[in-house]
Amino acid sequence: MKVEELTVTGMTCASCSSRVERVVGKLAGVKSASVNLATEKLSLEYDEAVLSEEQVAQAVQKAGYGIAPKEDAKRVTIPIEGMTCASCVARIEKVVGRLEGVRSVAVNLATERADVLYVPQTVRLSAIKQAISGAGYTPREVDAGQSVDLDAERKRKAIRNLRIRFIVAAAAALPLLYLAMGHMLPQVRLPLPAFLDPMQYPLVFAVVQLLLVIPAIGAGSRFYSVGLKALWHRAPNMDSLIAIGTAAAVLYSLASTVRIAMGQFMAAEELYFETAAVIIALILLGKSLEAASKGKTSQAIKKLMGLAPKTAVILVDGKDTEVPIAEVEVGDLVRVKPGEKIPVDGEVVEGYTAVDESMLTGESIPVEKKAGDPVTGASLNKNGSIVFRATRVGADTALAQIVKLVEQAQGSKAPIAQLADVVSGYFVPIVMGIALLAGLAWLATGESVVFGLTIFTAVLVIACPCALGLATPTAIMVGTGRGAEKGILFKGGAALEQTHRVQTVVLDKTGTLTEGRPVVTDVVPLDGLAPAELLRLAAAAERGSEHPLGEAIVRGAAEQGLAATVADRFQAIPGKGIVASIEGREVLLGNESLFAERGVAAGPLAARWAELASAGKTPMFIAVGGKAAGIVAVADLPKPSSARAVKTMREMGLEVVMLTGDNRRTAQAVAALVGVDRVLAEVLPKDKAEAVKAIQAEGRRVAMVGDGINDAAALAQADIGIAIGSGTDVAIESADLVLMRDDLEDVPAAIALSRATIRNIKQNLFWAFGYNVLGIPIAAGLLHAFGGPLLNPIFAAAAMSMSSVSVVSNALRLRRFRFRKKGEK
Amino acid sequence: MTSKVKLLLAPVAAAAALGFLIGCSALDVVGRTAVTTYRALLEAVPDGPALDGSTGRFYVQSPGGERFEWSADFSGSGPDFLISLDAAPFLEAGLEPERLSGERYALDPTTRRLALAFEAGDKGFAYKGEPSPLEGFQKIVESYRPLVGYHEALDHYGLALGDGNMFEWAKDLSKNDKDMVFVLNPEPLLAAGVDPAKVQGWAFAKVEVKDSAGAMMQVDKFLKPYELR
Repeated sequence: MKVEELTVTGMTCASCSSRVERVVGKLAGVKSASVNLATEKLSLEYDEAVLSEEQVAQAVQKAGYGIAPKEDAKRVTIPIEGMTCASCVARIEKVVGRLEGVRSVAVNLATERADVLYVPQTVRLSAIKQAISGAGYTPREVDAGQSVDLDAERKRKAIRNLRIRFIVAAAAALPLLYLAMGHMLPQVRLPLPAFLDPMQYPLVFAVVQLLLVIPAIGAGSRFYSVGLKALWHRAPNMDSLIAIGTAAAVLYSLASTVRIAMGQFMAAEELYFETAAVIIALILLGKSLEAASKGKTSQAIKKLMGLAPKTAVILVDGKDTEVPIAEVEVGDLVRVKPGEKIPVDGEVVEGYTAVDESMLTGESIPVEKKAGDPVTGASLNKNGSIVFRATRVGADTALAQIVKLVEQAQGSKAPIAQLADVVSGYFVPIVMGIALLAGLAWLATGESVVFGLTIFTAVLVIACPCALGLATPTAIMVGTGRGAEKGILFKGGAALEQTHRVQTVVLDKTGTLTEGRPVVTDVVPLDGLAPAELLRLAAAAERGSEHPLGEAIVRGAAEQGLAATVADRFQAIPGKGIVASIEGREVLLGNESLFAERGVAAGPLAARWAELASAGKTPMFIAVGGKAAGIVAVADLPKPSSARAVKTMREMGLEVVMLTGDNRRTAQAVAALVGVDRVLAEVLPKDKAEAVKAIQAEGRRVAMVGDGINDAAALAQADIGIAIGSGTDVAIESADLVLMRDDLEDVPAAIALSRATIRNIKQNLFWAFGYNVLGIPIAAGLLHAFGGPLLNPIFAAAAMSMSSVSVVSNALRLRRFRFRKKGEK
Repeated sequence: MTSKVKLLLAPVAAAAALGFLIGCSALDVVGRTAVTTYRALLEAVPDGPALDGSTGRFYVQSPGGERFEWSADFSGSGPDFLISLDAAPFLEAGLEPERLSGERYALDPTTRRLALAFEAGDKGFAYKGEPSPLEGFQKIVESYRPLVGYHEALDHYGLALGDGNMFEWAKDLSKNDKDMVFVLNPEPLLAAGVDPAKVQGWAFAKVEVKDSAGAMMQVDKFLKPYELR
């Protein structure tokens, strides 16, 4: 099975996306097909042996839509020196054109440039240049800014095209409106030239309107081409409604024009060309505003993609050489100077610096980097010059993975969207039925054909379901994008929707609530021994230890600048502690069992030991020369933000549970510090998933927050798995939500964002449905039946356009979503 | 052709089309059918149209004796249009002729006929051979088209003679009971002492007309309609 994502062009409403889904879904070999109207992406899983991408494209085209060229193709203009004639042009086109991965090449002799469309994953720019050089010409450096993202270009063109169409339609509609309505305005009575007086020259009046409506129809030609095709396939969409509504107005007006020509001059009052033109202009205005707004919904991803620098300096034979980022290979040595961005992922081999990774993680404090430390592409080198070895390039970099994750999330469909999909599938045919019935019903009551036509057109025009199709995906795009800006990555629309339902948040203790790295918290010496001396002895004893507690003591001593003494002899006693010989003295370091075994009396230290243990710390007795010398206590302390995060979650009405393999006493001590509601202690790693399941069995929807491999099963079991910080790949893979920063406060922020997004979706659906629920009866003349006003189709078109614009604008409000935290303004 | 060129050519093409429309008499259905219906009127009047050699004006006469006259050549010295009617009903209703404007109104004390004279312009009309009454009317439509109009409420064509006075005829004589109508602006007559309630043979009624801005309005008129068929 092959998973593919294709860009569909020409869709305007939820009916279109449903239609494409149905058409592609029916193809032999297709396992699943899902279309997102906002991103215009068709997500497809199919059997390559049965079906080809071309066949999918053909089926989509047959349904009246198109498949855009793959987004991964890039266009580049390469300046070339040495061309003298048309033969040179042909030669270069030939050598470049036959490279695998080059989609098209056009060489212009006059400008001495080659315009190349190529797939960077298949062919390197350097290979293209090499081919040109091999043909005897000199390719010059490409301006990085000339690389054009095809998808962005396509969208820009689409917006520009819609704007031009709108301008043409408006340029026709305004004089039409003036002609048709200006002289009817009761107060103003806008003047008309004598030759357009409808009573003196009714046929000129009609024919001028007919001529003016033609450009408007031309501007809205796609409503007819797509709409009528969809109607022919018995899958009417928004375009069908516009096409039928405006065509009815135009055809009736044409009939009136013929009547005028035959001497029935009163038919000059039954011309509705302006209705068709104004409807087309308003719909095109709505569509161009919608397209511009939709472009903004994917700004987050554009920002992410724009983070990577365009070039990198690699060391070739010891010399600095600037190359396009696409030409950096794994293993290349890359030099980054202060103030420059790190181009790809790698490992520092030389130099020392601080790197600002906030653009990827949201963490504002720069991270120190020295030889051996990993660096991430797109992060900013602050103050030192470093050389690093590239370990991941191109689509493998962390940035590329994040972009992919966010793109997938934005392209995926939330379960809540299914409601809109189901409704819109039946919506258009039902609306057409209502329009016809309403028009006929009014005719039956004795109203004129014109009246019936007005009702018919108004119902068709006001009921376009484009807002319905945009309600969910636009909010998800903006919501996931806003999250990505802050290092909160939802892995799909479903994850975003599920997150707002969470009732209980289960936090893994170690590494999630706590720093995940024990530190020395207490040094308790006995009999006049200095605390530093006690710590020095303990560190000397532990120097060879690989136990985390031992490492914490060694690190603690080093932080205090104590001399690094080496033990003469070292013996680990499993489950009890260690015995070492330091400077000729025997040093014991361990628990009560070790002291008992060696016959050392704890004396006054016993009470202090119990006190420290009850506070959740791990105290260790130290004896020197067979006599108790003191206690060194070590603990994995909660992160500074943990208590704040827990408090925020509780204020949000969430139950917060701490899950740990530690003993109950230690767990309770940490729980008291951070303020969780419930503690599940002494849970073995393999039982974590069971613990989550048990909470789910209580009827709670659970989010599990963890960072380690041992959390993977629990993350998968939870309704929402949240991988936090620089968690392991397994944890990230198992999670539904990835928090880039190692900050627990992003958990309530993510839940709040999810809640805001779902609230936004509900508002959007309310508006989208509301427009139709209210608009259709009004357009059908319900108010008029009770003496109220009648909805002019022009106002119906304005309302319909505004419904889409208001839905997209409302979704864009999410861009201003604030991740409020205690202490933040 | 590039889209920019197309965009530039579009207004030029639109202007050309508009110019063609304005100049194209085929699209002037009101003017065209006014002529054909006028022919029907001329054929229907009992005392068929004729040219008064002394005045150089064609005329049609109603069964009641009112006459509508139109000049064969507006460049001549006499009035371009003239309505002649029996003044008795107005005199008996209180008309004091000396209070009427001498430029428009003239009472012949001998015949007791009131003549309303109108000047439309001074264009000369050229004919091939002897002019006919219909040809004379055609020249008016061609040269003074704004004077010809269609009255939707009565399904009439009409000539706006000036100062609210009109001569109207039915678009379809077979379907209309007012085939020929003399329409007088009552204001000067009322100002000259006429009591509209006492005018015999003329209707004093509200008529719906359009003002200069195209707005519908109700005005008083003296009307005298005739059914010819």
